[in-house]
Amino acid sequence: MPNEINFDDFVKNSLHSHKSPVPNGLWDKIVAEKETKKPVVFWWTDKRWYMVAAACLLLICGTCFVISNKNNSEEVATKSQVPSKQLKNTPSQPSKTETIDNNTTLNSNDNSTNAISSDSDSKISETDKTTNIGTNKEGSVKNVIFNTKRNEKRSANTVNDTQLGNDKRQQQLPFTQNDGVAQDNSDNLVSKLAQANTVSLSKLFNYNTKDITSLKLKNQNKIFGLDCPNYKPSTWYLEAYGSADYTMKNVFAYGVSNNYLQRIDSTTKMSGGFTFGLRVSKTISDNFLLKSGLQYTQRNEQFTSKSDSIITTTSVVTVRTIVRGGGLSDTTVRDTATVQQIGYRKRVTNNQYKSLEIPLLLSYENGNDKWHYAINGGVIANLTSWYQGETLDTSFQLVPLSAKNTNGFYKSNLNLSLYAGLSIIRNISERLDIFAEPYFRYGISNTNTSTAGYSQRFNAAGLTLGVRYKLNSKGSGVGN
Amino acid sequence: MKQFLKYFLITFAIVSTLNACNKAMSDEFVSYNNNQLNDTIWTNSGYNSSSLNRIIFPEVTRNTTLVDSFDCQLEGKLSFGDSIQISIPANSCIYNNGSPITSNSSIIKAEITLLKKKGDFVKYATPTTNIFTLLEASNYCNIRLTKDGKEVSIAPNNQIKIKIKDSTASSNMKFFAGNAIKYFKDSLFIWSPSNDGKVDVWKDNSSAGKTLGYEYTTNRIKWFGTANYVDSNVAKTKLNVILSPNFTNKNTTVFAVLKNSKTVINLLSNNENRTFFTFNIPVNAEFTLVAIAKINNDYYLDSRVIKNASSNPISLSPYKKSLAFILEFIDKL
Repeated sequence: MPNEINFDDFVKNSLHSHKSPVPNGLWDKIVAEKETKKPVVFWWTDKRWYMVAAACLLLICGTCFVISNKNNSEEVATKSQVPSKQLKNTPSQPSKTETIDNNTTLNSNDNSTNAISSDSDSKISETDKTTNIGTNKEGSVKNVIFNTKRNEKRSANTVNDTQLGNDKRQQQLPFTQNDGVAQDNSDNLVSKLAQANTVSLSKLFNYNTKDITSLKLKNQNKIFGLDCPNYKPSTWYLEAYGSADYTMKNVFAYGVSNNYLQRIDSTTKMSGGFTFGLRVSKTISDNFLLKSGLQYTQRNEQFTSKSDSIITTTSVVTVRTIVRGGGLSDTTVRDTATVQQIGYRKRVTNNQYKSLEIPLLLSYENGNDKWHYAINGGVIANLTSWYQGETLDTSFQLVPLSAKNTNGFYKSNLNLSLYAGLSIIRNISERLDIFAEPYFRYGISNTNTSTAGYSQRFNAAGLTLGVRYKLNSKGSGVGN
Repeated sequence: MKQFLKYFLITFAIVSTLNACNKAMSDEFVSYNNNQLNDTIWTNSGYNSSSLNRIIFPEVTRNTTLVDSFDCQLEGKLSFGDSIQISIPANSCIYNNGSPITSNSSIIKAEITLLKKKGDFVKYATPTTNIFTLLEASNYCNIRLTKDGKEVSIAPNNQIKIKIKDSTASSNMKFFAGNAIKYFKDSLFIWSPSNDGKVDVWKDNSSAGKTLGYEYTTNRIKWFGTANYVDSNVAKTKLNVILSPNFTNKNTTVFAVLKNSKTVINLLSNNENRTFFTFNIPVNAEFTLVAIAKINNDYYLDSRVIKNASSNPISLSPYKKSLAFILEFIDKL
């Protein structure tokens, strides 16, 4: 064993710090191989494709999330066994008894509850005006939460007191005989609601004509015991839009002559553009939405170049009537001749600046059932750009517009624009809106930079037209 | 969702279509408005051969003029080699308004233009015609006398003698005077028989009387010469010449130069059918058609030899040539 140990130590000591010499030129070979090694997929070397891919991924994930959220809601709704027919007789107009103040929470003790109940008429009338402001058109009572272990009793008391006070009002209460909840099952339903622990009265009225299963949804979400007076589910929209743009361009010089800039300015003229894209918007409060998506923007520019003087030769057929005289009849002569014209060759090229962009907008929206207006603002980030057309280099020679370094004149770079717009939205069906959005867009960084030493920024004004699709039907909408 | 997709696809299709319809590039030729080459319109204000000639050959006329001077109070004798001799009596010059020349300095500058060859008639756009009547010319002469830049003339009742060397001088020739006239809208330079002078054959003093040339005795110093009418009994025809559209009556002149006689015809223009024409061309005469044009600062030339004239139009297509080439060509006519 000692020998074996000594042998191990010997080997260890001999080879532990041994370094093999590296052949000359090995590193150069590695570098050369690294440079010439082709990527497995062609877009791996181009960073902008990563950005495009990321944007697409973001959009796809967002859409999937929205759709899955919607499916989940529908799935829960399917599980609900409460027939909607039972809710048909829900009153369309609120009565005084329904107009309870938004902030009223029946979580006090019996005495206080009784006090409220016994004195309900007077209290109700006092809160009437306030409630009318705070409630929606349908008169649904919002945000009243039954949230105590004494729900049953309190409900019964409330109902009984109301019944004593006014039969009409009584009929319009959610838990009375003529309400959407079946009379014979009202106790059971209240019991179920009590079991669920959390029930929004407003939601009862919201769903009474359509879907009571939202009650179930709340149960599934297990908001036990939480007081959520202003709760509204987020609404997701998918917007498709397109716009005709009036574009403007600012040119900034970096060391080129004024003569060259003037030449560039005189030979180019913006000729509009267009934008189209898809964006997803999500309500983040009653009136505010966050919007983002992916859009394609194309700015068109008319580039006019003139050649030096040139002479063109064209063959023409001339027809002449010759008077021959001497008793001979006139004769018509067709003669093929050449015509020379001096002038210049005018070359008009439609330059196209194309961009793939991500808008990130905050929108304030308000309105009624049919018409909405919205104020939008935010930034638009350019992911990638590519160009098509021609321009002049500093020696006034025609060169192609291209973002490719090999033969190009322009370089592509990331940039930002500020965006402001005003939308007018018209509801055309339950889930579909159309909208028009005049907007202005201001470039705050250079859209593209030429190797000749100048850069360009684009501003634009336009009118966006589009459609908006409500992805989750259970959402409460925005701004109503 | 279907409805949404429908709207989206329709919008996308419209945008794509509009974008596809956007023409990427156009290339067009734009002609200069005020360039003579692009002016293919014929003027209807008439043909002006003399002004056209000045446009075409200003350098030629300046270089071929003979210049000398004499004292008008003495008998003046001017000799330009042996080709031309001028004898002017003393005190025979007056100003054009008729007043006598009384200043201390009585030196008169004389500029003489002598046209002897067919090429000379072409260069100076002095055709040997009386409108459409053809003449056979011998030589034409123009004398310009000036004192201190003011033109002077020969006083009435005084006559000068001019001897012009011409070995082919003929006693059949008559004294003709050249005048600019207005013929309808055209400005023409024509030659007519004149009584302002006489012409004789100039012979030497030997007994044989060798013909040396012509001797003029005249009071007229402006365009004069010897000529005679071409035989009027031969069959004649109208001559029509057409050119390519760049060549109009504003920038082009066309001559017909007869081969067997010293006859040069300047064709007139018809702006309605854009032709150059003349009458009275002998049917069997051989002649050369010459078209000369000046557009911008470029000269154009085309020629064609015609052996049997007819009224059928003849097409010419002038090409750009140098002035030296054109002058050399004309001198050989």
